[in-house]
Amino acid sequence: MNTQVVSRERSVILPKLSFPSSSSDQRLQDVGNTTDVEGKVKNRLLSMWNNVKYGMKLKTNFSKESPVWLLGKCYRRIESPSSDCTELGTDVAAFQSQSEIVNADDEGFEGFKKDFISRLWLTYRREFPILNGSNYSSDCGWGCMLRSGQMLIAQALVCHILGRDWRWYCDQQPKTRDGFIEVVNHRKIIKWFGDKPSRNSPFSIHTLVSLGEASGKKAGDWYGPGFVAHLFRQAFKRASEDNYEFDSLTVCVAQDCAVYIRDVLEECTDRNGKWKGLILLIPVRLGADKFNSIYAPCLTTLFSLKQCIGIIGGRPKHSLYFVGYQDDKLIHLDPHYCQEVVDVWAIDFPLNSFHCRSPRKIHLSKMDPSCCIGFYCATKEDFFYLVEVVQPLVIPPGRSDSPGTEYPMFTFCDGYSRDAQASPKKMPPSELEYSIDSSTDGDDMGTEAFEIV
Amino acid sequence: MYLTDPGDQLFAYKCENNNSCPFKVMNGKIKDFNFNNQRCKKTDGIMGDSESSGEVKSEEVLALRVKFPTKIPIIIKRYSKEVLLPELDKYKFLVPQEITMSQFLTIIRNRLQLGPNHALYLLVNNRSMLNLSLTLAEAYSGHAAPDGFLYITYASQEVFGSA
Repeated sequence: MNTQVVSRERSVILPKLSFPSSSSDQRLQDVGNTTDVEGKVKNRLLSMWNNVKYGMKLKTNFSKESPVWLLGKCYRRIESPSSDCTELGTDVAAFQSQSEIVNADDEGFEGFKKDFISRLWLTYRREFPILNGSNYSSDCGWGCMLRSGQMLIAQALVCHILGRDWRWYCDQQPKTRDGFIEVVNHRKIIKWFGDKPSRNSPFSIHTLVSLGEASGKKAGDWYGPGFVAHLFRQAFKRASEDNYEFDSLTVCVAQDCAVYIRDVLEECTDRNGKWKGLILLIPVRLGADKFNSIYAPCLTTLFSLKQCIGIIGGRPKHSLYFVGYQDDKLIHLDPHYCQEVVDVWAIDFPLNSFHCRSPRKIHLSKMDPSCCIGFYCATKEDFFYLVEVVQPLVIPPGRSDSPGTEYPMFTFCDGYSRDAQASPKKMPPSELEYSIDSSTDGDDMGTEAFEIV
Repeated sequence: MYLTDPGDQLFAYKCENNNSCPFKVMNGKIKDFNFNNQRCKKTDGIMGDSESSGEVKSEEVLALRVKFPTKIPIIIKRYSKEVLLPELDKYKFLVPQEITMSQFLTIIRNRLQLGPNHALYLLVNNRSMLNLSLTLAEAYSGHAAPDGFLYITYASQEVFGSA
């Protein structure tokens, strides 16, 4: 919280100073647009500040009492190993097998750290090949939502290829054959996100930006979580043209917070009737100005589902990839750390910059209401389990005066979306307008026309 | 002057006999408007003017309900900080009470001329309104403002960047 204040103060003071940098030539080209220049300087300073912040490795405090949930796994500090599972206080705990939770418990907080470090961390990078049609060689200051999206998809790929229980041990050389395959696959996944305009890296920032151009976005623009979800859907379609590995994986994006089950089944069944891995992305908006706290329990409960691959969102203007929670705080991976590009095609390229060692937390109330929820379902059973379990969990607890009137965060519907959309075709009939006879003068509402549907 | 068909007549008659709380009869589901008073005051920033002239509008709504007993009076406005979505040319609607939320969403989508991948969220009382099989009558009974209108805000998603 303090850091945020400081960064704002700096950004106010410093843009007025001249600031020598390697990109000053580039900036001279658009002197005409001074706000643009100021914005760039501001971004630069902010990313410098972010780097200072990360360089310091600020500690985040974790409570000793409460359990930590990380992408469907529960970790708690072990005091009494026979702790009762009903204490977890999460609705979904009841749905999960007791043994699963106890096993995770055994690992304690060290297990959490290992798990967290194993998640892929994709951050701002600088000095990568210039993005097509622009003069950007870095995404610092604008690409954070794309990076968060990459992390979400990377997590899905890790689950799909390596499995949720895979852990990265940074200093160990693989001893077994399986261990060796894991190392190869780990690197392969990172390569798919390599910052280069190549069809070998189907989820690179270059690919995503070029896919976004069709919808009017360009390098340097800001992106929303739902938009990024659609970019990945297209990126997967394109990737499966080049690489058979993506034939066994598909991305579905919910429209209007509704997942049509038959659409998903159709999308996930390949030509031979076999199930493809499903990455289900559900863009939502949980409030207008601010995150509506009625959704808080629903949102955190999602992290206790084993299908959950996280949520991309953030605090306003600042994208984050949420991976878990403890009490009323969300645990996240933050892409706002500008690192130098790594050549992921080099043999034994360094992996350290793709994993984060310091988990951060943000209070739920600071979350931006726009976000996108991600699930990965390896099997059809996983999907049906999700459909069954998640529905009651995403309805906010009702008001005491009128229970059952709250709307769910999202919903699963039977049938196809095309049928649902076709039904209101007879809806808007004649475009009638009329004015009400209003006896009350001075009330402009009275004379305004209503649209009758 | 409103009484054109038997249904309306019946409705008007009922209204006269329930002057103390006219809303009670409009639709079996609307039980007590005052109940929602507190909550509705802090909605999405479009309630400001409605509070001051609440009484007047209640009469307006009453007149509308008499003339169109099966239609829900809705005021739909763009979220004040919305930049991606266009403004609606009309923002006051009378919508059949039996249509579902998804049908209403489609109507707004069509009016805004949005493609299928374009994000559009309807917010009522800072909630995302989407239980798609719910009818507007049900939404109205749960979330109508004290003045008798159902206030809806529409918005897309925020974008992220900068720090």
